Amino acid sequence: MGSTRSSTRSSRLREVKIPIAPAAGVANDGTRPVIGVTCCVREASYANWTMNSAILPSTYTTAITRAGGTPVIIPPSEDPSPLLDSIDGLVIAGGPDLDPATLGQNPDPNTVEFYPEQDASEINLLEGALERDKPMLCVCRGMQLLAVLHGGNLHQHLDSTPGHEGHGGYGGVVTEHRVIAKEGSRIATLMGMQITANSTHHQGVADAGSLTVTALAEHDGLIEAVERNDLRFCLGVQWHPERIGHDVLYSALVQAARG
Amino acid sequence: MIGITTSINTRDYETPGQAVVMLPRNYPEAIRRAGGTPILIPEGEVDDSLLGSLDGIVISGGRDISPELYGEEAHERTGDVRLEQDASELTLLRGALERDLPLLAVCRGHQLYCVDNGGRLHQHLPETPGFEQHGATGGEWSEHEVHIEEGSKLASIVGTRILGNSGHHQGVADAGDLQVVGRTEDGLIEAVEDPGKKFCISVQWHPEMIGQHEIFDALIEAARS
Repeated sequence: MGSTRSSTRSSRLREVKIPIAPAAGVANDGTRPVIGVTCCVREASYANWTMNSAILPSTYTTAITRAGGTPVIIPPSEDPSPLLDSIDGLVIAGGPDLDPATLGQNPDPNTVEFYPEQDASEINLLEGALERDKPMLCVCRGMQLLAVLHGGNLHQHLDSTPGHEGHGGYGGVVTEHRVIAKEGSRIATLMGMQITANSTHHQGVADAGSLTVTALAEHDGLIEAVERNDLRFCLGVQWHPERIGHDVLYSALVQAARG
Repeated sequence: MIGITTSINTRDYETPGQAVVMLPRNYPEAIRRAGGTPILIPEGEVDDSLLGSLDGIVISGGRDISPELYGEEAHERTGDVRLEQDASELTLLRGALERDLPLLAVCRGHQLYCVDNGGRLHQHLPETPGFEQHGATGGEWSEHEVHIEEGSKLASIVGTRILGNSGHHQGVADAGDLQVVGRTEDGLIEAVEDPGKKFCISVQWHPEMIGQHEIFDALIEAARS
């Protein structure tokens, strides 16, 4: 009886293919660095009910997996930085606007949805990661937060910011535009000097503080990539590389995390 | 660091019809309250680098498990199964048990753990003779008393009587090789253990939803040692 059951389940499970495989060329030698990625908390629906939930598009976790990393998701908390000792690299994901109070600004009428708790959690995490020189990729909101932590500031609503009206899509609309990277920068080394980026943000970095600005939108000069050269791997991009096959950025993060 | 499994669902989030990784927040909050550091594990490959970074795991609640895993056809009310998630969680579960990492399995996790040990499920309790009135389903919740076996690990943590919440439509019919340590009045298997492991507790109800902190405290204590 026991053996029948056992063979039923193991034979069935052998047929189960997990549909996420490492990208071709990625060595899987048992050293898949663990990459933490931040998430949001929202009311989310399940089959029959709605619950306050951690939530993250799976594009991030699959991009990390394709790049040869092992993704884990970091739920917001007062101070998640102690877990940095257990992970090898970090992705600060896109998400809602930063609280204008975090920026020392009053809210723009278009800045309506923000989560001070998530800001505080990610600030602690990011500061801890910078101190420990953890390789990090900061995406969209993540890049904006990185800039603010380095003394920078944001445009709260690009469509009402002179020179940046019509920068790109937001509010569910996604557009594309060209980004020009600076020669010799990490982003240019990884992606070349002309990059086609997706755009789905209504805020933008006005001032990157002490970060090095390494790419600008071609049509309006908005800051699209920032870096720190004194760290192992610290890259921020305004666009969403995980949605458009810019896997090279995730591969570079994982490679740095392996080092 | 305590790993908690998650579910992938299609939701209108950021963009319409996006695949999102989700987990009710009360799981990580329960871990944190007990002094642990929660991390969420998305469906996918589970390897040594992940298992090596964990001190314990929680297999969380979620969708029905694939009836193929216990050799049955799907009942008409068994829906939304996801074999990739079953496979991913089984890899995590087995890897964790090989390392004797402390385990707490909840609801779907409880059912998966029992099935992986040779058990099987009742696919729809409201139509299973003897269990028609087991508890609420379809988004409703009810409460019932669970009788815990004296001398079990679970009894040493919560005592021999505990109130469990109930919002599940499937249940464990046979716990295979595991030791049944808790049942409701109707006889449904609500809690099982593997006494051969450091800490291996599996419950049908949701302790994270109803403030049963002592269960999470015990998990974290085991994860520390």
